[in-house]
Amino acid sequence: MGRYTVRRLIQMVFVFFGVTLIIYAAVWALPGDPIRALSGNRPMSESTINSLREQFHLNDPFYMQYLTYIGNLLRGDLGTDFSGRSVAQQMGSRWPVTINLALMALLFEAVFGIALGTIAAVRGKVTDYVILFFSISIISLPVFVLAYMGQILLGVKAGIFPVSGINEGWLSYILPGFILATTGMASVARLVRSSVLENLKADYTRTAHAKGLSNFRVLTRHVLRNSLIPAVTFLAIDLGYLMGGAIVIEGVFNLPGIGQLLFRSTAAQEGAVVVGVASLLVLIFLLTNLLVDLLYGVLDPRIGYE
Amino acid sequence: MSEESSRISIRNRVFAAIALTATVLASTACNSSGPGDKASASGGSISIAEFEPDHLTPGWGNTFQTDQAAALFAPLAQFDANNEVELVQAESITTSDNRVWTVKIKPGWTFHNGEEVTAQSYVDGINTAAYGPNAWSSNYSLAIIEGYDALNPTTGDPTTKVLSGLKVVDPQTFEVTLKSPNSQFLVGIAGPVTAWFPLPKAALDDLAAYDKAPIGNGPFQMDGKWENPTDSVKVKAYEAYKGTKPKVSKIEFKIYTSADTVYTDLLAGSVDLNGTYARLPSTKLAQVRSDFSERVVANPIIYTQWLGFPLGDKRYSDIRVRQAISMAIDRETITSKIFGGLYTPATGVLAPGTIGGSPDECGEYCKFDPAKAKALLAVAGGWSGPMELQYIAGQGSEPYLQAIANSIRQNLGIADVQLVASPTATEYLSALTAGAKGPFATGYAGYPSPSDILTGAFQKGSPYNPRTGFYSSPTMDSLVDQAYHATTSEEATGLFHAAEAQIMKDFPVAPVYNINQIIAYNDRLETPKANVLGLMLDQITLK
Repeated sequence: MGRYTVRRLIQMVFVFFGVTLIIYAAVWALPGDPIRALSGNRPMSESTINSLREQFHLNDPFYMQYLTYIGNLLRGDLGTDFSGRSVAQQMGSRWPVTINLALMALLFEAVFGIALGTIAAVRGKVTDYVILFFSISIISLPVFVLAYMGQILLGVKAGIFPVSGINEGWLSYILPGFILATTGMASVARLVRSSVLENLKADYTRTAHAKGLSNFRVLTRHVLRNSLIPAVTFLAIDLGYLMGGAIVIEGVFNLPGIGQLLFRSTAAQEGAVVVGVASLLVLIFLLTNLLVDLLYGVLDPRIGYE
Repeated sequence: MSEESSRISIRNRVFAAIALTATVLASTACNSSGPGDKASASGGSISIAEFEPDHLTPGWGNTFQTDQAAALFAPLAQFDANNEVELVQAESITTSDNRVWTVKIKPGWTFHNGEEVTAQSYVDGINTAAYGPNAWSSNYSLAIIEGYDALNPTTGDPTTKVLSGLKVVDPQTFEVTLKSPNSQFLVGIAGPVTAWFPLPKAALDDLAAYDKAPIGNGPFQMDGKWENPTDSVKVKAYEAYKGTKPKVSKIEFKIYTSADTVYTDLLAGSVDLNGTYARLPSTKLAQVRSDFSERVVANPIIYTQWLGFPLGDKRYSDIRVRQAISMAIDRETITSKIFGGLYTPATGVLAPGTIGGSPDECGEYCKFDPAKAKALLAVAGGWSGPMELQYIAGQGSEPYLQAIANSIRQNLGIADVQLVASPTATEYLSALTAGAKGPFATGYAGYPSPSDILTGAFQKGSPYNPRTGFYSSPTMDSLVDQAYHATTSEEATGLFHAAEAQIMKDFPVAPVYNINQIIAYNDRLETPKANVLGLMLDQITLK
């Protein structure tokens, strides 16, 4: 297992450099001059443009810019955006928001997904159909529709949740977190349901019943425990998605997370910011994937990696 | 205020400043209190929605800093609610030849750290903005001052850090020498978005650190630091402020990234009003009146939207084709249906709030007349092939461009009219610079002097020249030049209007509508006041 992990980590280094190169090239290839766009509607003097272009090495050829960037990166310097603000500091202030949002969503996915899946499996046909109906409806609704609906109904009209922003602590994350979780929640419920149904018919379940254990105990101690393996792996992979995929939710609820930063910076061709944020997202994806692969081995001892 | 009265009064004020060589004494701005002024009795805190500024120091950043800068800094002069120029920190601004201007500042004003505001503070601030390597966004506006080129060489490093055209005469007075006479100088330095602000000594050592909590000379001071761009900017009233005292004691500028969220928060009442540059989403304009009923202000600003044409393209080089397209556009319906009656149909390139007003220079070519339009196109030889309308995606301009496209289809019989979007503003600008493929939607947000848009967009080599299809006209250039030399404001206005008339005669663009600043506000506020440059923060009052 140790050697496997090391091998994966070494692979990751190459993937990381490959990905930064691709993203850097993609930003670089966008048409238009980011410096000229910087002043918006107001004119900018040639000398200002020139000094900014020089400051950000924009006159160098592409590979030189990339090498300069990587060189600084290896020295721990993520650079600054075109307004001179540190990328590291901007990411530092925004990551906690996105992580809070993702964890809140993950919590909803886990709790509601597992509960709904289990109920659907054990409570008979009518309940099963009702839950199936709702989870399919939710999966098919675009997330921004849900977001605006939730915001208007529960925020503006009912006043239960804050409409936007993060000023009210964890309360601010409940509504956006729930909406971000809906898609994954439905998937978890489906996974848990089929898995529970399968395990209910397993030999060990019959044995447990035969021992005289109560239905509840059989369900919680034996069936559910074994049914969670697919759900846990799904949740772990989903964490990466929740962080990277929160752009829409962050926009609607005005949460100053990295999704917003990424969106805005891409439009403004802020190369240093885009590459910094995107590369970190790639790293998170790689790490959660590795974690999931290792988790398989822990949850199911039959799977080995040597 | 009526449009007409404001025009006249601005003219009189500018006239006074430039023609009489008179000392313009600070009138109502400071000591007296106007009707309804209950500064001492009130207080309380309000929140204003803003988009993310990149800097707080005025003159450094993008326009999203406007309200914050206006809270922290007092300008030399500003526009009042009737769009008259009034002096704030300046005691007088005088000239005898429109070229050398003497600025005398009021004594006893202090920065928020207690340091006295002197002529030197102003000269330091302006020099900082003018120094090329600092890369301040307002740098370009100082190119009118003598010595600017030495601080901004096209290649290599500047040889000096100080403008030779700025001279401290005594602690309260400095002298500005311009490269050439400029009758619009006073109007150009008024308001919160200029380079004409003082810097305290504390700023000069480390501008980046200063920018996180600027020590200004304005009615509000920073309440804490602005560490992260997405943090709210909090300010509190500065007790020792010598100008008009604000009527609220604290303002929180809440930072948003989405105009839709600003709108939702305004509806929910979790923010009190939207800031000058936190524009409401144009897709919502049709419903603003029903959502906010009386709590909406449509304030005229300088912002004209037009349809530009690639003048070098053979298909559009015939003026009659451009005029026909313009006459096929139903401006009244667009502004009333799509923009909820909050924007106004354009009658020229100068916006209604412009000093000297906006005469109807576009005339019949801005009036909806399908029959004439069709006839005119037929005379010009008709049209064959597709027509591509270019615009920037995602900024809410689709509905009105769809309307224009439909008008062209129906009224001119051009079947194949397509909308072609550029994904970002940057790409759009480079597309226009390379040469547009068809009529393109664009506009100009600017300053109250007519010279601003005329020299900024309609002169060869001007920054916005690509957005007028690279229009240029020696006649117009010379009229503008004469206006700069004018000794009375009537003369200047007349010449500027003649310049606009020349543009409309050549018809490089079809003016479509004028954007107003739409303020939606919470019912705990009195109706907010605004002028041609935006919100008047010191006038915002809680009920």
